[in-house]
Amino acid sequence: METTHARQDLNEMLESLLHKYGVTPSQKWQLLLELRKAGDGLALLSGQLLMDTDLADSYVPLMPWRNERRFTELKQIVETQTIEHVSTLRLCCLTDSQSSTIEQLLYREFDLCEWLAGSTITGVFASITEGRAANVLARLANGMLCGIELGVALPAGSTVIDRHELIARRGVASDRVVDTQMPQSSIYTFTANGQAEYTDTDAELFGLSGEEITIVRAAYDTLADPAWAEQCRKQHSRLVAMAKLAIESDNKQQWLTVKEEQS
Amino acid sequence: MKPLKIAMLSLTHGHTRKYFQTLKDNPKLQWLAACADSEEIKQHFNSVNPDVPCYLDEQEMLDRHPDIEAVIIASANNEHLRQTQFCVERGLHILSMKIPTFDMDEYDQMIDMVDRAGLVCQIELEMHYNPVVHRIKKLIADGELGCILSMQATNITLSPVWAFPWQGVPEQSYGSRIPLREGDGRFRGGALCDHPHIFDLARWLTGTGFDYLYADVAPNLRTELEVEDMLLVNGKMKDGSSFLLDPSWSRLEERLKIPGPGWEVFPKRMEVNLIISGEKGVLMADCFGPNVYHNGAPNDRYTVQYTYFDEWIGLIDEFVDCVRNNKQPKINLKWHRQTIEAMNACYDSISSNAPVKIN
Repeated sequence: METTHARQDLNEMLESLLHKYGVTPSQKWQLLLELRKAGDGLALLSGQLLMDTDLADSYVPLMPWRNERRFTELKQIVETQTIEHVSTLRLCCLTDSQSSTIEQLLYREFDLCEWLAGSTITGVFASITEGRAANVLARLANGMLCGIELGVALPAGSTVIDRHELIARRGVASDRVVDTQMPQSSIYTFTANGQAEYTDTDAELFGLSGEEITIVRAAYDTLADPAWAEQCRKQHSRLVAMAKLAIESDNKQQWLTVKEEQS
Repeated sequence: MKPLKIAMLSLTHGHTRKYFQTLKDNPKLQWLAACADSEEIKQHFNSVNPDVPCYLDEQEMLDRHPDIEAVIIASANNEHLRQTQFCVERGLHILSMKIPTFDMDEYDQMIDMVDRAGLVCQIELEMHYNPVVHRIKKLIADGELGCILSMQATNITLSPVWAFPWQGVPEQSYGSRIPLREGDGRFRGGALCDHPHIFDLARWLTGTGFDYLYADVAPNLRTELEVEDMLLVNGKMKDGSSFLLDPSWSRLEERLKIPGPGWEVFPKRMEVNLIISGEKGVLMADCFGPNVYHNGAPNDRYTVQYTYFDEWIGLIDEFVDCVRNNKQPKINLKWHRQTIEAMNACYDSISSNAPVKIN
């Protein structure tokens, strides 16, 4: 994960949020930006970093993308039936190979698929090339179909390019502008220092990058609602299993069903 | 070069009207006549092309215009074999719509009869004449992306069935009534049959053939249709690159009988976008962009107004060149065969819930 702030800063910001809203965690905690041995209490970090690790009780795998404003709105659009009878989800995420692996992208997009659809994936068919590009079809228990396009072939240091589109009998919802291919920013500057783009989405955590904001918010949610940590652990196990299932599907060239213990 | 004397048959295909301007403007052509499928279609044709004689009988058209050298077959898919035979027997060169037939025995008959007659039969796949696709092809050829790892492509549109009803009739679109799969009330013949372009592009841009395909259908957006309107296709090419293709009718439409302004419900009626990941980088392309936008007449809805390219000009130029200079078009029946085979494999995959190998 790329960060612009030290881990200590983020922990302090999380602490101040907890204080502001009167949340008193029942045990010690620490927000981590990379996988390392947990100290006393809870270690809160992105589930993507825990994919290859046996999940000790002290770790809480977070799904920080759920705290992105755009995904919160998309989910709300579905839940409030602003769009009705969703048929198909079209998800895409392209990164460089330094910031993510294909397995980590599968983890994130499978979670977004289930969370936005309000259902669980029942089976997958995947085609993966050299661990650098993956195309997946996923079928959901509620009948929806999801296409997932993933790649880690962008040049090092590239901004993530993604798209999340929900196509329904009544309406289409997407985090991309119609007739565009690239994500938009809130501010574009053209100055003597060159071109720059800014997208600020959180005044309380102003100054943090988008990824930093979501990890702090996800950690806050978990500390504010301890029951949520257990949900995160369960979902983490499912997502890790489904990412492995996708790779197995590619190896076997077969449609594979998500087993009951995974769902 | 002597202008090629040409006619159009049936006029029921969705692309029919796209030819009108080119047929009138291209100095290499002399548009002699047309033959409509019905009186209603003839009347509409006469209203927009008053200078071109239109008939209701193919033989009568040829009797009146014995100097016709070539025809554009612009009909429902299930008419193509009969009309190809009709043209071959009369020594007429053929520009065929994008699906000659889904029946592979019929397809091979068509190859055989055209070959024996020594005629040109070009398949209308206009993306080959699209300037953005030319640029993509050049960037790949120049090695900008390195070896291709993956390709994602959309060929998504609104549904044309309200204007061209045969596209929603399994027998006319697919050629026969075959259930999508056991327990599903829908039949082959919908969005997939309308969108061969991205299958063709996958072959053309990678320079290899399909290894296997896996396809699945989603719930229809238009519950009235008895054919599929939403599906996705996954798989690999022979070179190991993977792909995900979306040939859906995923953009809703006003149910107009004659396509025109105000057809869109979703602001953008059509899209062919590609993402190609290679060993050296990634290419993202909108084959019909950029565009202009308005929210004016007739519905005051925000609308993407296409700035159309000149695919039809290049397509016709090639056809005339092939006829006059005895050349084989790039998109001939033999080249296109594997694309049709792959599309059939998608239906077989939907039916079996398993990937289908292409030999």
